[in-house]
Amino acid sequence: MAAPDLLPIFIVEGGELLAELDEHLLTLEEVPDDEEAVNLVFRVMHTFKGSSAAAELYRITDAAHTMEDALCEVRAGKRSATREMITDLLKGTDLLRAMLERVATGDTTLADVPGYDDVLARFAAKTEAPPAGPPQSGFEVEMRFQESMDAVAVQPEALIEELADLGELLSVDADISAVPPLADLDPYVMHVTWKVTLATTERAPAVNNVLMFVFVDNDISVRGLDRIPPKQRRPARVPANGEESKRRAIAPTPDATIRVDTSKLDQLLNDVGEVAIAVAQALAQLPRGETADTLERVNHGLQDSVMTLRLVPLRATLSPLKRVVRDLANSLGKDIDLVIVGAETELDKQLVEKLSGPLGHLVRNSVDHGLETPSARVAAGKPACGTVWIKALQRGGNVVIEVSDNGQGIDRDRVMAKALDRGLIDENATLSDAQVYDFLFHPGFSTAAKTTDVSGRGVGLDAVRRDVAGLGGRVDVSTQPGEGTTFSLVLPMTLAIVDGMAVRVGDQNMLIPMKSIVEQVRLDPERLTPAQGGLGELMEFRGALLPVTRLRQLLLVDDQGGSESESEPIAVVLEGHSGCFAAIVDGVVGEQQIVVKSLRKNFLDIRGFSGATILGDGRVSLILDPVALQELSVESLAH
Amino acid sequence: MHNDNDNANGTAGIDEFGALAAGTSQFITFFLAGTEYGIEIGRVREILRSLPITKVPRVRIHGVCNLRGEIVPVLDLLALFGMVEATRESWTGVIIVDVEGRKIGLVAERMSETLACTDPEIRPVPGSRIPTGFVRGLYAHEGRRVVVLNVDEILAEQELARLAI
Repeated sequence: MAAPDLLPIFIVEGGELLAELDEHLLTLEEVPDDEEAVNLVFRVMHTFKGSSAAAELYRITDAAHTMEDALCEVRAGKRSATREMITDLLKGTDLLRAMLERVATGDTTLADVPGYDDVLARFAAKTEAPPAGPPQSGFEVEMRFQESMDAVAVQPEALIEELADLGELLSVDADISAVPPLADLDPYVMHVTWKVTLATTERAPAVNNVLMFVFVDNDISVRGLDRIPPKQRRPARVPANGEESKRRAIAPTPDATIRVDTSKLDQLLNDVGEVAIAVAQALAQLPRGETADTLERVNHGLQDSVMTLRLVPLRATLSPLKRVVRDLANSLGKDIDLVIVGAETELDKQLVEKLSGPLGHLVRNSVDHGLETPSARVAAGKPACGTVWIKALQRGGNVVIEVSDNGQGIDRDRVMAKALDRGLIDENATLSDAQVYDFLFHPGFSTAAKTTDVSGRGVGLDAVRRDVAGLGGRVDVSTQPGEGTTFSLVLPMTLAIVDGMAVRVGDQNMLIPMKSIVEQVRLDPERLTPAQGGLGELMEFRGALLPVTRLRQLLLVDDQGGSESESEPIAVVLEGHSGCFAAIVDGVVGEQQIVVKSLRKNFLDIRGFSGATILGDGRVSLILDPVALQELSVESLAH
Repeated sequence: MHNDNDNANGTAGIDEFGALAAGTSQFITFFLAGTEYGIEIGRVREILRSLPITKVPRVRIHGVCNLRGEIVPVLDLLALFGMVEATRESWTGVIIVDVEGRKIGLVAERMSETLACTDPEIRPVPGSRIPTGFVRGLYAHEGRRVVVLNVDEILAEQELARLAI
């Protein structure tokens, strides 16, 4: 009988702990036998076990306990965290997760959970067997280089890495006692002594091989070890720059956070949004002065604070993908690394959660179809280990997430053939690359030779595009045959409140995001010159010549509001993707705070506009997208 | 062909107590350019009499409206069918259609009586000017002819993308 009031809490926290566990287990796999990594895993497991006991879910507690025992042995050095064991432990977390899901549906007895006995039996069985531990021998290498190392251009780190390739580095110690103070330091003189402990099944000649060029002139000693010292303190590898550090210290800080129901947050956000609109209307009626200024400032501050409440880092969605890649790559016999850059990029919480589906699919696609097997890669002159990158960054008011791989790319001809086959195009159609690759997003379209369990059923990419569109974003693809493929997701950061400038284009009011505006100037016809080749106009601005876009013509707005001579055209200098340009509008109305509403949710993907807003009088006003405007302008000139 | 559930009004599938017989579906119907169309009632969110519409460039729709804070496109089905569209003055209502949370508004010249009928009564219609995916079939009974639409197909993303200029 479970403790009812603790159950909902355990369901949520337990889920988070299990996600953490997965992450730490993957880290442990990279640096097995590292004391701190083992401890991390153990701590989380222990916490999970305790919480399950508090919630009186004893079947879970038992399972956790079995896993904890196994981890105990690793911690005591009796067992090694081999790849097999990590796989078993990951299966264990899957089991715990499955049980947690059962509990969420109301089943707290947890009888007959499929796999319960099998998964846990793996741990019990291994306890009896003799531990397949680390290699039983090793070497201790001491390197003291001659003082003028530039004479032979010795690189200690390269040597240490080569030694690491022979087995496992248990420790790398640098003795810096001989390094003089900075004032006396000569950078060309090597004062550091290195002591490396290596566990390996290789014999002495292999080690000597690595060091052969430095034996001469330097003081290198290699000592064989019969017993490997049980305690190791250093990581086996230093994380490269830009790679997500595998050793994030997760110190259990006292809780500086508080749980808040997202529905409460949504309500707050909604109310604050209404306040923004009401304040805008009020400000229009207040005389200028201190009160108006204070109101404006405080309102602004309120919007900003509340806006950030819903933003959470992408990490929670991105990290579990490491496991996805690992498991899938293993099952396919491929060697694949997942590199995540920018996990701290923030996005609205709701968006972050809904991205896990599309991102998971794209990643699986890369692993399954994009990346080749190790032998195929080597045959193509590539390193055997393939890489999938997930890069997240903020650009403008959007978050861009790129999923790329260095695999085989997408074969344009095969896509064309498939499209032809399905009657989507006819024989004589000439299509641009972009149009061809767009077919990939067609429902049921897949150029995979056979469907696998994972993907290739062709239901994927159209679902990805639909899901992303539902979040107000879009998906693009670019590829280089033989080199790789990149899928880009562009999403609005949040259903945000932004500052905009209301302008008139023809008889319509539109809004331009303030952050894209460099400046606005009265349009002086004398500053306009035709561009080379008659392709449009240029405007002189601060000593530079900017391309000119006349928004009324570009956006095909029905002209019912006066002829050109009546309006006072203004040139708004905007910052686009590739430099600045001048957008000509028929008038500027004024600054305004806008609550951005997505257009894409209801099928409106209008190029040139990033969203819309509801004005104080209930009318809809569109928000211009300077980057898209720039593209449209260039395209229209080309015709 | 009459069945037991027909009442005097010829609306099959509803008995004298107004209850739906098993296997019948209900449709909201409306007139557009002289033809009566039907949309499954489950897909209709609401019907609005009149509402301000903001024009939108670069898309062949009438514009967008503000539906309680949500931006919903308003369009003429005839535009999707590649036929001549109705004039603004001839509308009397906009039917807000909802498929999985995504909404559009379809203009109607005149609303008509709700239709209840069984699946077999909707016959396939060969050689129609309307793209076949959009139409489930034709209901023809006692002088009333209703083109029953397949709204899920109509609201598929790529179909609406065709309206972009």
